Amino acid sequence: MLRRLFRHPTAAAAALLLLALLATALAADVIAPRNPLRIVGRPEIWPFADPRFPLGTDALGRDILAIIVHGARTAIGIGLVAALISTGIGVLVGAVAGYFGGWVDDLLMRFTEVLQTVPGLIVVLAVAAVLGPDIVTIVVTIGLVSWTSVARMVRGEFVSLREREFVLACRAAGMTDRRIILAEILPNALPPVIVYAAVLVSGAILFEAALAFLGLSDPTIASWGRLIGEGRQTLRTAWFISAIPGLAIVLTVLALNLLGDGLNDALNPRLRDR
Amino acid sequence: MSEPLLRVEGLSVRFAGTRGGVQALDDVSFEVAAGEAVALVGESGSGKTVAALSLLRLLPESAQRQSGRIRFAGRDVLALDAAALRGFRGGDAAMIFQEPMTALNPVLSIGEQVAEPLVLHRGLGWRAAMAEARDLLRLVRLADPDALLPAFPHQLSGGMRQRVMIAQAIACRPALLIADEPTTALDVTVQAQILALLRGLQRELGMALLLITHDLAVVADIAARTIVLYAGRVAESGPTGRLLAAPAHPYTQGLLASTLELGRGRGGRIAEIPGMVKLVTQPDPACHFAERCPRAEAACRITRPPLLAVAPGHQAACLRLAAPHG
Repeated sequence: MLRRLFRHPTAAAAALLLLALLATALAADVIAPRNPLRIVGRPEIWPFADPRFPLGTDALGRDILAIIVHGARTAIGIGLVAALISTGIGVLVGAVAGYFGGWVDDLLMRFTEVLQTVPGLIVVLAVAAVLGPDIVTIVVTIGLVSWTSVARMVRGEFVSLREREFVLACRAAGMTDRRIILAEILPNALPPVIVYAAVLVSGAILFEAALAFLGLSDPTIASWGRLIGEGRQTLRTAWFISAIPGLAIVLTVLALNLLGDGLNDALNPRLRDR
Repeated sequence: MSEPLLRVEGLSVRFAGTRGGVQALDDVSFEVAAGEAVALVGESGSGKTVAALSLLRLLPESAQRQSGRIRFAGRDVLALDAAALRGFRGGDAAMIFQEPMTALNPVLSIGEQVAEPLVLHRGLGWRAAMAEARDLLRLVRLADPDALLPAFPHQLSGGMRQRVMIAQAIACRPALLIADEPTTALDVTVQAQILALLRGLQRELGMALLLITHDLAVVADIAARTIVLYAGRVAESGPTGRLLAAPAHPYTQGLLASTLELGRGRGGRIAEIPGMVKLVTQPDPACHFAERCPRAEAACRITRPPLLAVAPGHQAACLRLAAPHG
């Protein structure tokens, strides 16, 4: 599967970029050992002007490189945890609805559809405003508002898979519903979920960036979105303060989406041998 | 006579639906003794698969008004609770299906799928279950079981897959094996091998076999007794040899006449039964075969024929049995 993925040049490039990002996030304390939110120098030093601050400083005199590498850690953490939460809920709801059908399906899917009509960003903003800008609250809320499409997708897979004869054979062999759902049907339904999980990670990163841009994310944590928001005030004189984290977000989200596409092609049996 | 292993009494199953629904089974009764091989024969729509599925309570939820009783080894199958039902399925009675291409899970290895019932019903650890799975693959005459354990279903041929299905079904040494058209999807040469395997295993393990088929040629080799279903009712039942040699019901006679035989009827037309199986929407007081029956008379269309004894152990549901043949 990995070989097929890397036959795709864009997917391979995306994967390499994400690996680099991951390495940066893990090595953040080595690259920039001090608290990234500390004021360390003169404000608004341009990139490449001072060897101590390769990417310059922001309007308060904080090292932009330090914020970027620590922000990578934030972005990856938020993306993975939120995607894990939403995939978990989505798979659970979709699997139960699709497998059992009938009124269980109706109830769960109507509930899912109602949630889908609620704009996620508004909910996250409201929760952040009411419960305070705490990173755990924010990640959990992002996870809670983005599971609906996973649920619908998994339900679709289960509805078609449950009619297959092997499921009947499993029931004839005396397996419990839980075992049939988790051990027999779910592995068959996973490929599209894995693909979509990449999209969920990028969605969660964008969510947090938007929140931080509006100043509603956790102020004690280095974040790309927050830096963009703060750079807004000096956009005419020191545009690089917003542009550098903006580029980081664009590259990360783009890489995640390209990886998702690559995974889709690699996992899709119809495209496999072309 | 002691109680048979399986006793089905007055089983009726209805499917709800538009235009009155379908009466899939109408007052069907039969028995299977321990270690006995019985064939359930009928064309498409006769209710034979519904009968098989209802034995394990696997009918979809659209099936309603299930009346009648199913007793297995002294227990009432229809009254089992969820846990007992799971133990019954796969443990006491196992089932194999028609389509070996779709009846195995494509993402699990052969070893996992054969070992699974052992883990489930006998509480074995995976390691012990895998070792026993290897023996089971050998028992169903699959060459090189060690290479097959980690293989996946798509790497196997249809015949091999059907053997894997059989290995999975007999893993817990069930007292009854239900085989729903186990050879229909296979090549003729493979069919013969699978049937020989089923017959061998049935004798070797002393289990009862309920073979469901539309093919009377299959029945002759394997089953001691044959039950012929027609449109949800038992048309005829009796010892296979007698039933094939002297069929009493006009439907069985028609079925036999339409069986192909090598070297017979060359150049001529194959005999067929005109018409199609009647779609029964309500239990009606008539012989369901009357419309296609060459010997039908007025009474056949207004009376439900009772099962009458033709000979010891041989019964047929036909009004004209009593009357002189005409």
